[in-house]
Amino acid sequence: MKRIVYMVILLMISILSINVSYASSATTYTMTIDSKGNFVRTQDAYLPETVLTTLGLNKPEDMMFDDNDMLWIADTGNKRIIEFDTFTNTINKVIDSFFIDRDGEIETYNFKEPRGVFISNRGLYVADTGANAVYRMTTDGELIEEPFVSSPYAPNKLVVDNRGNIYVYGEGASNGIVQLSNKDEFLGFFTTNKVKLTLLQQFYKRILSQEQFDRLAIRSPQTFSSIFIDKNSMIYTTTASTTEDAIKKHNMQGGNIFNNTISQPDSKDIYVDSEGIIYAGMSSGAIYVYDASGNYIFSFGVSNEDSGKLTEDIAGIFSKLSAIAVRKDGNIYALDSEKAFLQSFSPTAYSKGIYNAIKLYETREYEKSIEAWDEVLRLNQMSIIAHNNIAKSYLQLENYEKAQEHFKLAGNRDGYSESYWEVRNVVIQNTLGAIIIAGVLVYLLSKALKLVNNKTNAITNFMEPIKKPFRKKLGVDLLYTFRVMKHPSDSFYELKRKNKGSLLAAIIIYLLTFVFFIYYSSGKGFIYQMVSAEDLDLTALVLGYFLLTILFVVANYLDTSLHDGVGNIKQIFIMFSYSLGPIAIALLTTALLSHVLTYNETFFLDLIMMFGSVWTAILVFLGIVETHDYSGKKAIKSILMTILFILVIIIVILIVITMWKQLSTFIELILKELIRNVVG
Amino acid sequence: MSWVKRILILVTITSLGLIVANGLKAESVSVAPTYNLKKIELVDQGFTKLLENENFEYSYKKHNGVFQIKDKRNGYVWKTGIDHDYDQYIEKNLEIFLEENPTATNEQILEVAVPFEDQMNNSREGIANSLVTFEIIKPSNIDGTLTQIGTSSKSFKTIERSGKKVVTEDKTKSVDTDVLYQVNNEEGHYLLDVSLYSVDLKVKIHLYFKDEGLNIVINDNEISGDDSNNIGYINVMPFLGAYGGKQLEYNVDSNEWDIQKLKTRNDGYALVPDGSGALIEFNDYNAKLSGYTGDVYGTDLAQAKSEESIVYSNVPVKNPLMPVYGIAYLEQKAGFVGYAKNGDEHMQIVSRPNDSSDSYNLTNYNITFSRFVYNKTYSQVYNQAGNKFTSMLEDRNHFDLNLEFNFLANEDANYVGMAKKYREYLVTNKIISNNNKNSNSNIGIRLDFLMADVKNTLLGTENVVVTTISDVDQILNEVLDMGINNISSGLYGYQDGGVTLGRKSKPDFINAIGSKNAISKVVKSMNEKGVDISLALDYAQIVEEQISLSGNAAKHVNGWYLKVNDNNKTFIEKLYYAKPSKIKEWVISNEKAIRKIAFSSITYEGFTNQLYGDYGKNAVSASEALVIYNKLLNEISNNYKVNALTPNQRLWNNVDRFLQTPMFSSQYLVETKDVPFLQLVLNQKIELYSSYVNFSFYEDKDILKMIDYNTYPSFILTKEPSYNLSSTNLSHFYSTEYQLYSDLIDKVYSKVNDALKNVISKEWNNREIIDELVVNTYSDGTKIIINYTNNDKNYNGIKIKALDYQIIKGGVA
Repeated sequence: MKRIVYMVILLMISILSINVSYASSATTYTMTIDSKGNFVRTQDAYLPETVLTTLGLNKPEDMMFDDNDMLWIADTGNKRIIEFDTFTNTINKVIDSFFIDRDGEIETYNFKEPRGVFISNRGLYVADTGANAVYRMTTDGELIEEPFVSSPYAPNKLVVDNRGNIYVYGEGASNGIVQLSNKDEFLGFFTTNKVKLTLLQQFYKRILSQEQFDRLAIRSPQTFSSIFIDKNSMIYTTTASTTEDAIKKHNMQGGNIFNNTISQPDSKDIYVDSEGIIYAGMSSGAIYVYDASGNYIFSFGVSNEDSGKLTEDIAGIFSKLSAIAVRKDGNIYALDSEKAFLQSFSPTAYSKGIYNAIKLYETREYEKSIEAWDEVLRLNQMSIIAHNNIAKSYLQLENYEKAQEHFKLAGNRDGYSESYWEVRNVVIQNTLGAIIIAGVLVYLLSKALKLVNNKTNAITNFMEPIKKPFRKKLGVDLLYTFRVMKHPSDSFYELKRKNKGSLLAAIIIYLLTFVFFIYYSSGKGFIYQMVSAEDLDLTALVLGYFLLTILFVVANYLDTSLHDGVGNIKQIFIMFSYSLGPIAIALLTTALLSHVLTYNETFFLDLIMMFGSVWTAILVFLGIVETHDYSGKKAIKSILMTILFILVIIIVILIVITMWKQLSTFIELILKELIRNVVG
Repeated sequence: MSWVKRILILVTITSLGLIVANGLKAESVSVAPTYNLKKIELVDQGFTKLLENENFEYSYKKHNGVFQIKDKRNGYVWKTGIDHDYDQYIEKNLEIFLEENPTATNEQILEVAVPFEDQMNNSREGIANSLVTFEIIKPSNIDGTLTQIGTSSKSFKTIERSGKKVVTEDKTKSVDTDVLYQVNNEEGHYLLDVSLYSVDLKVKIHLYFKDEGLNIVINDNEISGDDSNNIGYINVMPFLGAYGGKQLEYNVDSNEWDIQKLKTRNDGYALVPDGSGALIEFNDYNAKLSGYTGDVYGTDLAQAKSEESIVYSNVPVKNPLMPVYGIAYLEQKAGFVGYAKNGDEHMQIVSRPNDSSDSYNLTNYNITFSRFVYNKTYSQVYNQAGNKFTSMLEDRNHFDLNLEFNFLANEDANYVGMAKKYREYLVTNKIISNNNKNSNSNIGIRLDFLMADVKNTLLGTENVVVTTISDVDQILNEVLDMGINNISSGLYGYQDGGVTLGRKSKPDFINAIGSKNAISKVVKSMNEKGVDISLALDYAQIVEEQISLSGNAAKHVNGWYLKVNDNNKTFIEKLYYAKPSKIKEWVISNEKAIRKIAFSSITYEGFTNQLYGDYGKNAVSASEALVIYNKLLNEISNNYKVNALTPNQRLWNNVDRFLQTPMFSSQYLVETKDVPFLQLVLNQKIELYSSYVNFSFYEDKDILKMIDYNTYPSFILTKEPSYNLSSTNLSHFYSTEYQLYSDLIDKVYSKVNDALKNVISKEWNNREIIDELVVNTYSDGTKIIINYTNNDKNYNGIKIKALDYQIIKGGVA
């Protein structure tokens, strides 16, 4: 005499006037990331399919598909669990009370606040937050074992692995996910979120005692918002209120396998399908999709910045998404706890193509994978994932040129560097022989020309017209830069006293350095040019260069009155410009070399730049010493004062600009008011 | 006197003079017409018959101001309100009855104690009975909810009259409904002279009873009273055709009205012109949903809440393109279609489920009705920091409200019947032209080209050219070789500056894209092959980087420029709107500049699918702008064919090709089905082209939809891959390279043409759903049967495969 306390299939009453529309046009945009890391729109990945508004739900919190693709929903506000058939849109079963048979004695229980549901062949597990208990029962409502009551924390969501170990997290237990054995023994905390101290808090930790530090603001780690277990018993979690590692896949020790997953700060639920594709639902209604390694593929839905601004009830737009689940055929189901509806999304050919292509790559069928990704590219020529994956496939197939091309389109500099290295390698190997022969020939030719020159002076006569401009005053003055680099102190003395060098040459050198600087900032090779030229802020570069250099010269001149320097501003400027020689050459060389070097040779470029900068700095120092007749110590003091002066001047300029802006706005407003009132 | 002093005195006097003149601006008042009115004598209880004509019997009930329209064709009775006698009245009457007849039997008591309306207080009952309701803004509490009052709002009290207790209207808290007059002795022309209480408002509502139905007119100069400027909305017959309702029956045992009973539910739906058209099937909702609100032609941006519209991450909802809606009851075979003959640009179509989430409809009914906007509140920003206060329009919108209702019966009482009726009205009134524009035996295809746009470089901007004119020539020739010859094409970004920074006043051709000569040559050669190439330009959207805003950009009523903030855009995020007068100037100057090139059509965008007025210098209202645009296209259409992007009804008279036809609705939760209402209305009048097939519209079921909706395919193409545009404002065109689409173009066109060429000049008469199959019937009996499901199906013995269609030729009875 088992009292059957739930309604069986009586509830095939289709409660619903189902909105059966064909997968309709999208109501939100699907976004992905472009080669520069910005979010951009892409081809629709999922389209809203059916919306069930009349299921009679009340604040539903969780749901999960079982092995027969039946959807189990935790209808929290109505204190019941529902088994729902998404193919026929009917409710199969409702469980609102359950019982345990203790040798003939039957005790019935009711749900208080069922917030988590998990179903497997081991039974139906329900986390009842209001009763502080976890129940394990058959789908007919009979408890398989005694309820596990666990105060003081209230269990929220749970998963069970295939040995029966239960992983539960609850409100108030910010220590992490509790692991229970299949005999309900407390095995410990599986994992927890680490507390991340802000910079200020880290500083306090250093200077305060432990007690004082503890009395400061509470630093509890963030709690998890949901947990999922896949068929290999790997556990995935989401954490709300943060974007740092909000989506995690845990190893056996509870650590995080993923690295820096992209998400919104309101992740609410996670689900993983049989291919390993990960779906994360955000409270605002956005759903983010990742591949098995946690790499972001695309997302759709309303972002958390826009959530709450849309007041119309439209399919696919949520007030508060509480749970998602994915059916075997790829349809995504999502619950809105506030408006109490169940929304389904069906994948388009675009997303199906992407999943298929990912699978082919993971099973190492590289050629097929490239074909599949080409299909995806047809639908979206800007798809970074497609270009990246095609490039990686070509890498595996050792077609380095194609790999390089696609890595560039994907903005993947590491990959590009790698493939370029290979391509360059091949080029070098092919041409090395030719280069050596050419080198020997050039050497022999130069020797021969010298011999000829000794006899006939033909070469010297030939070179005369070419060398002539370099003999002119300007040419000499420009070439003087090289002397400055080699014999700084003497050269500066000569500059000051003996009319070597000229102002014109100094200006030319100054401007030339500026040109090289711009070229360096905008024209490096793809691997090293982190910011593409079109996104550079030209005004910042120009302003930065001219402002800082001119300010240095001016400030240094102002400082001469403090330290009794003898140089005037013209001399300081000339000295400064001529010191720019090394860094100008370094900028040019680095920029040119960056086109043919890979990441393996970064040190080389860094070395050149450092060399150039340090040499210039030394030249400037020596120049100041010479020009103003300072001692070494005085020169250092002078430089420090110069820097201070620069800061002061900049602050003054900023203040003047702000004040002027306020004043002009004020005048403008008065004029506008006047005109408005007069003209009406 | 010194010069300075003289100038100062001059300025002071002038300003004072202007200020005074401003204050004395005479208010333009139009004089209300005078009528010869004859008061209609109304019976005290029940309905007074007013008029009977061929199809209808019209009556009026004095007690609650409800009109009754009996349709003689199917016996259905329409009421302009729920026809309830007011809980207060019933209760007070019962009190008196029980006092006078203490020994009354239960039957006698129940005769007097008729059911109450549940979930309705007295004011809601007034609204539910009203022919017209008013929502008034309270200037003293401008942010608060609007005061709602209707023509049937009443309160009752018990008084002593000649020794007897009697229940009468409390005149100070009731709107008098005994105010029906016949006008000028014209048959069927009546007038309700309404005087509201609690707000100072008097309105004359004209009613015309006709053979087809009912016409309601409220003239602007017949609205008077101190509160006449504060009218926010006027709603017409909110509860006409309402579904649902809960009653409370009298319990003789407990002497209370406490027996809850649902009123009869009849299956039916409301049709709203959302996108292509959507049905809102009536339902009893458990959850609180927001319903549907549609601004006809779009909400007037210059009167919107704020001058700035922000683009969010959701697809924007579609605006109704026609001022029409309808309700149908299936089993009763009764329905109506309602449309605005005037005041359309101020119209909203509102549908609310029971217990709507915005608290507008807290009753148990599903209601759908039309509403007209007179005055609105908006945010007045008053400093650079963005602080604001709420203000309302100084002068409300002035227009004559004219709504026509045609009642439909039997086979016509569904959305197809509504479409056909509405089409009839549009043709008779020359709102769309009647000539059948299609002379080709094959359907058309639209191939638009993106030629160039601009991106940022280190020193300014640079054109990114993805298609040159010779590329266009080559691609079109290739398509012609496929056997497709009814091609029309629009060139976007044909000039220096591309789409975003291109000049609006006249084209600035450059060689990199196509010089004037080169384009001329291609146009000529294509004309000979029957291909129609046109220049396409958005005349309304302007950016600061291209043209100075002062004198060119339209202003919101709060004085700031109308602005769109779209941070999804890659290059320029702030977009502005051009003044309507400037648009007119540019359309004319553009046409003049390209006259020598033998274009046979021009493609227009921007002002065709957006509604806004301009409150800047030489202000132009949204209504005036619509008239300007229509006149403009009238002139253009004398010499060119007009291709317009999603044009609203005001421009349909001159449009030859309707581009980007909405193929879906906005997917509101209350909408249960998408229907091709727009396509039915425009069938055989304008050539319809779908949204771009490139973007999520290429699957089998999408091709079937084009066949189902009699809409032709359209593509957007480039020669170079579209990722070249990734740094421009066109980065959302993620897939356009012709090379990748040539096969799809062939496939889609052949499939759609094979079906639709059979019905290309036949009128689309009916659309039914039989056993999950869509059956479209045409004027000569031809049927196209479409199977959207994943299973093979049968129709009258003919097998239709999954995701496929079949044609049954007509000409047979």
